[in-house]
Amino acid sequence: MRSTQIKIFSTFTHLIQKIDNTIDHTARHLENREFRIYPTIAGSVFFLALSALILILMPYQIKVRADQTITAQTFPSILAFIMMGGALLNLIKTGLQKYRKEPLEYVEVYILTEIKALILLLFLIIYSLLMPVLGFMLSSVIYGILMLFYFRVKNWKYYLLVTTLAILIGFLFKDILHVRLP
Amino acid sequence: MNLFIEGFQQLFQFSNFIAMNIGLLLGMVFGAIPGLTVILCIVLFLPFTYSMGAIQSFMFLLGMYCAGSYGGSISAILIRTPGTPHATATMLDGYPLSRKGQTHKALKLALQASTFGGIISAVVLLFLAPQVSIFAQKMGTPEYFLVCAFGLTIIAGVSGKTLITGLMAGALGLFIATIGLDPMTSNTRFIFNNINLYSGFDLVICLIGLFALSEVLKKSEKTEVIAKVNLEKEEKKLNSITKADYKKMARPALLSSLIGVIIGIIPGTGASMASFVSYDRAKRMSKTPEEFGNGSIEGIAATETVNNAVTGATLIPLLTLGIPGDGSVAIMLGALMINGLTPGPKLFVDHGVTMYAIMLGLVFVNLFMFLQGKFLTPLFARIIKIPIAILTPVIVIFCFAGAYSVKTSMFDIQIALSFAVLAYLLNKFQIPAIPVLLGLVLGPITEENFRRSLILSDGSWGIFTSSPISIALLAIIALSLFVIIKGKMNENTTGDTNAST
Repeated sequence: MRSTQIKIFSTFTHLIQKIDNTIDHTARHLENREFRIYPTIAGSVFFLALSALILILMPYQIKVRADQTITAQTFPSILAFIMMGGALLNLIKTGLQKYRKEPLEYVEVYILTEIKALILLLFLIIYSLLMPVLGFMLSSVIYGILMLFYFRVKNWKYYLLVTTLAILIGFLFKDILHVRLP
Repeated sequence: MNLFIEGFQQLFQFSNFIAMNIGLLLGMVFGAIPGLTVILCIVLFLPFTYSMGAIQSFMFLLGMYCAGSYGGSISAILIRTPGTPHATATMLDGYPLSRKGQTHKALKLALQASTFGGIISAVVLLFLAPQVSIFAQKMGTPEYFLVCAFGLTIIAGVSGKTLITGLMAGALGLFIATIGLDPMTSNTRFIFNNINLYSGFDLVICLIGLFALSEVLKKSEKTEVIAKVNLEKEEKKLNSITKADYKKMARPALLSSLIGVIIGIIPGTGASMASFVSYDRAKRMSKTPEEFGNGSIEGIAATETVNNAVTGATLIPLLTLGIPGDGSVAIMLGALMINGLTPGPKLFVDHGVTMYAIMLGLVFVNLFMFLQGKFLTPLFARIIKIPIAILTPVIVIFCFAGAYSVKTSMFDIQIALSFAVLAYLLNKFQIPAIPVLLGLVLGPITEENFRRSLILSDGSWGIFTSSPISIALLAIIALSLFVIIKGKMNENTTGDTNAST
């Protein structure tokens, strides 16, 4: 019985070690891989697309009477035009800079950083999906453990501390603030 | 006078002082730890105020706000990493002074200067806010709209790299605020047949996504290791503040308190801008400008005074006009509304006693901040070493619980996550989030006053130039735009000159 427990434990630690090594190998491979983005251009394209989408969808999403001049569409339309105008101005300004052969401001985006951000987002999504199924406390504990794993923490006391804090926060909201958590 | 006395009586309840001190403690912790901000602190603990009364919840939030402003100086001085953005200027002289073995002195200076600035601004709030409220009652809907536009213009101008990006961000925030039921016609707007969006996006949910959860996504970036701090081994003699030091600090402290009050009153600005303006002024007026950047006590006094001098002043436009002076105070607007206190000219008329209690409470917030800072700073010096691996999941768990508690709906958590992704993208595109926040907060009153004005004038835009107050406000907006654009152009010219040399 004891030898079975030891076998399961060592298999588990071996698996964790394997995952660790795979992560390290992938991170080394991606470490200095980067690409450039021009924030002014990217931001302007984002706002141009968003404002265009708003204006296209507006007649379907906001029903108004034809005989009114000031309607529920007035303010959102003005805002969409402000965003569109700002984006176009920025793009024209950037175009003129390029024409004058002036250097454009850019930002280095590291692929590894963005993959890490996606992983963090994935953990948040997992947490939100688990919450209605497993309840607040258990899903919070799982999320806490995932995050400590993400930060490559090996000290068992941290895992105990985060688990305890997750449970305490649950009690704080449920029993002191009387909030009905899942 | 009656309101003053009744306000005093309302304030002096044990629960208010307990809430105040808990808020102060939390504010100092969040202010001190780099990566955690005052806005994050207020966002996380705002749901706790739902079960509190108006005065108690405001003492709790003001405690966080004032202490957070001071708390940022602790890590700025100890480890050269400002806990809050407006402690960056404090770091310029606080850290060098600490390197000379005078850490205790730097921390004491920061605390005393913060308390001084905070009390000055609390007194200004107490006497000025009722007068501004009387003036604000003369404003009609077009004037009100122009004040909102002024606030948004200023914040757009100072937040982003360019005025255009700031304006686009502000417009985005205003647009998001329009989603839901139109309050004037009850038409649905951009709800995509989702009944959860009938009442639009709750401000607290947006804030949790924009400022709390987005910080979690930014943890993907490399973080520096926090250096060790040792306060025990410093000479006592070297760390006492002498009479000569107080004499030296007096002028920059007084000037900075004035700068803080003026900048704080202008909607949309805040302590970050004030701290650098004040630092620059203090350096120009100093007899020993060469000391600045090398541990100048005038530098620390100037920046820490102004940080807290802003706190009371930012409440003036909030309470009298419903226009927040900065991002943190914008969140307090939510706390006011939850307690049935609609900010604006009528607030002092309908809830005068509560307002006086809150304004008097701010004086005590600063006094208790001094006491907590005096005795607890060594504790906070240890707290800044808490690993980010523990802080991050705890913050997220708080966020999810807080987001769920608003309407006990998982949909709100999904919305918060969406806003987190939006904030992350905006950060990548170097588009500031503060104008988005202000747009969200001011959206409903801006639109309401805009549309009412046009309805009253049968669609004529001339209503916005029909009164002396409107014309004055338009002139102020035009002047502000001119100053902002000129400032940005000068920045670009300096940048080009530096690049070419």
